[in-house]
Amino acid sequence: MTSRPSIEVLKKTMRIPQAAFGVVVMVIIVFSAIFAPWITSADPEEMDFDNLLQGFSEEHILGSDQMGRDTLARLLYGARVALMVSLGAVGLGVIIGVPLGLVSVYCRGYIDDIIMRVMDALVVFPSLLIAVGLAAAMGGSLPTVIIAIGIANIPWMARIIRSQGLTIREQDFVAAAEAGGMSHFRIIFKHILPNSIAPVIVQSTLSMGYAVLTEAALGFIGVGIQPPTPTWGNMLLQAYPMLDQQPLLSIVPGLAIFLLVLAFNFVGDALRDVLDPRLKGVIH
Amino acid sequence: MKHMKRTLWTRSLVLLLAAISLFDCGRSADKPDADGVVVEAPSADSGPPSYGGHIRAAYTSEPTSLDPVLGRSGGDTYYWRQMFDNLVDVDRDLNPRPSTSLASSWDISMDPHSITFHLREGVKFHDGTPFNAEAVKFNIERILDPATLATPRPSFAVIDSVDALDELTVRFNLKGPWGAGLNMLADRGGVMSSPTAIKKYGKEYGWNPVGTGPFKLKKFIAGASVNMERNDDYWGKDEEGNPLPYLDELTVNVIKDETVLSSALRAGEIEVAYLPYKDVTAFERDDRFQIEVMEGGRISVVLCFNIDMPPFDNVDLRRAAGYAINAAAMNKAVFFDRAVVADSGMWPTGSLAHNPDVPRPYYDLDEARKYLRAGGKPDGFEFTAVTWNNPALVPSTEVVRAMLKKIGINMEIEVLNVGSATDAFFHTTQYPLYVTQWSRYPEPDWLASLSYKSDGYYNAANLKRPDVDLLVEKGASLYDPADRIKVYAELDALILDEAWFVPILYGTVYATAPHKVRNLDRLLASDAKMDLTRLWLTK
Amino acid sequence: MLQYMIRRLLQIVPVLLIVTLMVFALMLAIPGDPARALVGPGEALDEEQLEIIRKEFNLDKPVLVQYGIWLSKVVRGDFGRSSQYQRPVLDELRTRAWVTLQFGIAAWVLAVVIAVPAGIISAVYRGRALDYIATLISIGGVAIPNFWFGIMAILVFGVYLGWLPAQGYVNIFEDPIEGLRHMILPVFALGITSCALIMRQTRSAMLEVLAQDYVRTARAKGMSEPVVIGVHALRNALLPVVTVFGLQTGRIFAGAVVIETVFGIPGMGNFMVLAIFARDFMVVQGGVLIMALAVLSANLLTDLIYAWLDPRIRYND
Repeated sequence: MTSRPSIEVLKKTMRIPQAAFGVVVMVIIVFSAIFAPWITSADPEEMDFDNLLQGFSEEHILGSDQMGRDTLARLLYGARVALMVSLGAVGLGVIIGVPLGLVSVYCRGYIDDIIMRVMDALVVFPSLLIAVGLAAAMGGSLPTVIIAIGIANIPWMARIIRSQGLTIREQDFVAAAEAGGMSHFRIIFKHILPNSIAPVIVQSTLSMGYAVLTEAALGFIGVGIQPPTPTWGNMLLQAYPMLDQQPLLSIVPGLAIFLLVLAFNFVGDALRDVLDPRLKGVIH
Repeated sequence: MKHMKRTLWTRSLVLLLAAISLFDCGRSADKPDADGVVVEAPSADSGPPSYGGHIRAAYTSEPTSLDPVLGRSGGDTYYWRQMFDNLVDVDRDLNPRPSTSLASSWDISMDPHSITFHLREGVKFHDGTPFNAEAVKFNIERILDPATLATPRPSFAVIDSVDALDELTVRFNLKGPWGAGLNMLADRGGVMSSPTAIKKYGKEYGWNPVGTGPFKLKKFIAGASVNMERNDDYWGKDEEGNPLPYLDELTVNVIKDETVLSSALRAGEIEVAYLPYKDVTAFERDDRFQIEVMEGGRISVVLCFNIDMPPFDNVDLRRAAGYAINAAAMNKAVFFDRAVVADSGMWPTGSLAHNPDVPRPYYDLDEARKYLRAGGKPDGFEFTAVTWNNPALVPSTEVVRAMLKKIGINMEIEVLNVGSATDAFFHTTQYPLYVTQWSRYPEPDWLASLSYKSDGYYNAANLKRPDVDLLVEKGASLYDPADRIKVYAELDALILDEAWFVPILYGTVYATAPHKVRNLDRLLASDAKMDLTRLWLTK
Repeated sequence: MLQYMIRRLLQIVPVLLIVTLMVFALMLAIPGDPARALVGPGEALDEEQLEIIRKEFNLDKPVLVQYGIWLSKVVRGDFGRSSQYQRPVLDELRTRAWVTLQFGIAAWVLAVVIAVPAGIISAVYRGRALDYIATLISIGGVAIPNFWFGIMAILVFGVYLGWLPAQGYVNIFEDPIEGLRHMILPVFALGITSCALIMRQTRSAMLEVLAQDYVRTARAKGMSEPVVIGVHALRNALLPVVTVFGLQTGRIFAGAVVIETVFGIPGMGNFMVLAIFARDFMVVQGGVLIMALAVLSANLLTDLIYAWLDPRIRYND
């Protein structure tokens, strides 16, 4: 794709109010994650034993947790993790899933069968349990979480590419190219890949939201990225037993997750409408 | 309110008497237990115990087996204890209590080393099988057989063979003196199961337990509850001669979430449970409930060092870490100020070998920096500690990290699950420091042999330490508790001086029940676990 | 049709093999001695006993041999014993799977009961206030973390208002009223995502259908609006509901892991997490097999219902 259509897409997308809202939220979250140390001077790990479980206060704008740590600081540093996980996991899904889908659609036959059965197996196995297993095997760290969520993204990417590819394959120009002696490799790159990009972008944006949700769930059941690194999930885990004493502690990270996922979904939906109206209802 | 005052008053009296009995050297086996007498006081003015009723208790982990010797978790005790009796029973201060034991008396021989038990007459298992010398022999030999996979086996290594001398006399032939023996038999290894049932059920015995205890199994629901009914033929009687137990039915529910525990108590769905620290204050204010307190019920946070692994192969650096921890602040931030700052070693408050006078590291940053300099790392150093995903331990470890940072030590944290963390620290020795919690083991040798001895299962370094080994062996072999206490005091001082295991906080157990539940002061056994068999309900 | 079904059933077999093999590999990747993993904290077994455990669970054999042994037993209906609880795996899983199933079905029914009418109303009153409210809910429902929704529900209905029990599980067959009260919050939390998705799909499917010629014809013939919607539109609008059902079965299992933790429900999700950590091979394998079977059956069922609802679908791929 050249730059002109992509600018065109961006313009069209931003004209949709939800998408504009989503982009603004995303920009704010990315900005505050990057510039966290400039936004708050508080260290997310610094414990203030004189101000435990505070609500809104002068010392701690968004309150403090059980150990007197500043919620705002932890929220901002937690945003870094959320963004890294969503980018990393979706990136992994695309990097592995897209080639698999291409190979599958191009080779057909038993290779297609094998790849698709493995993909089916990955879909069937609850992604959270993959993550738990990986966490047990490798310890709960950023790479573990990215791999665990990324693996769950692979089959969706591969399936999208395959179903797009199957349609395109049947079209005359591919048959013509094949008859004209074009190499398999070139057919894939010249015809199938460019035509599949739109749905992959849409799916990726939506998957990013899902990755944020999964990361939070992993953190909450205690197998995600481990303390002292603050993540929105492990903040909720530590906040939950304090629910009746300091509900603010549970409300704040949850709202942050909600907003970020909402933003990803809005942008994803808008992209879908703009890029490929046919896809409506196809992608979950 | 009036009642609360009275319980408080009684409790202080119990503590006082318990303290007196500690210094009472004549630990004669036949002495009626001091606790028992005092405990009857509150119920005395409300008349004799009434019979009948159903008490529902709850505990946070499910049983791994109802067969005491096959269980692989300390939490199993909450379930099997209600259905079984031990060959030897002990009171909270580890005095053997023949009146509640399956052996009514015993003789200890030093040459050759042996203990001969004279068994109680007329006791029957729940399935009618008579309890006799053959049954004891069967149970002990079952533990000694490695194929059984019984957890008490390592602590029974000193037993050579068991002879049934006649119907009610059984002799344990020993390889050496076994001062820890009676207390070990008061734990799961000394529990007696019906040989008939074991043979009948084979592998399924673990969920079809048959003991001699006050209750027998009625219904077991995996992951949810163990329901028990009164054993009408139970041999035991209370101090007034009334037959035990009082209740018709007993259920121990599994409630894994502590918040759920508290709400179940308030809703009256259960009667007896341990309170989570965050809810203790609320329950103290709630006059529907009585609370029974036991200090030193566990070690809530302990730093276990691998003394053979850098950087903590250097004793001064271990000491520096020990002095850097502000236990009081940790107590406030993680335990709602409900734990107690540790004042001794691995034998917590109220246990036989607890020694509050021992010198040990307390929070003192100057002292910490001094040892850092002595250890040759005045500017601090870096290392990775391991802990496990327990809701109290993870924050505690974060607090440790924050405190070590103050003296320049940068500690990374690896959080694993309990099995992996224990394995990674003690067996594959991947970490120099393990932040964990530890159960209260009333018999001091349990910990000493496992953790301090060179070849102990929980000795990470496995360094040859003849001085330590000698003390451990001596402590286990002495029969006189007073002599043993001296040996363990020496051992305790040595471990703390070398900052090998440094307990930070001792846990306090808060058991609660509504006022209609009586004898709550009999609930907590010497291991701080529940003995529900003496409770009764007011009509 | 029959041929298609047989082929679909045959496809399930390799998928199950791949799933279980993956689980096996994952479990073996967990570092440390699996025999020692059986020893609880503070307890001890000696080397002789550990050796017996390794033999008994075939831990001393090569990985593929271990897998082969497991497979040959499963085929004969023997799922082995839990190493933690020393009981047959099926006994262990039965009660917990039943609990999870109850919540899963309830969540599903709730989602459909709310979402389908809401989606239809939203489509019929397109562009009006009701439509906006429904759309907002469906957008929010997808983005909200279901466990956080559960926590907030506990905060409002359990802690502040005190209308419902915050947490815990009561068997609905022993105490129907309490059981139901304990189910309300977790079922809402578990069902919210599916509910939002179905609402959205129903709305867009309905809009499409309402614009079709035959609906217009029916209206023109003077059929009343409820009849038009009920007879013609609904059948077509149900297609997306069925599609979402297939997709959501797996997600409900995943959701159960977290929701059971929030509400302290002794179900399968929670149990599986603990089993993985305890390296309880047989339980993990058996549990994953059951979950995979459930998801695959749901997918198959989806396709069959789809076929029944829409005879135009061909069975080539």
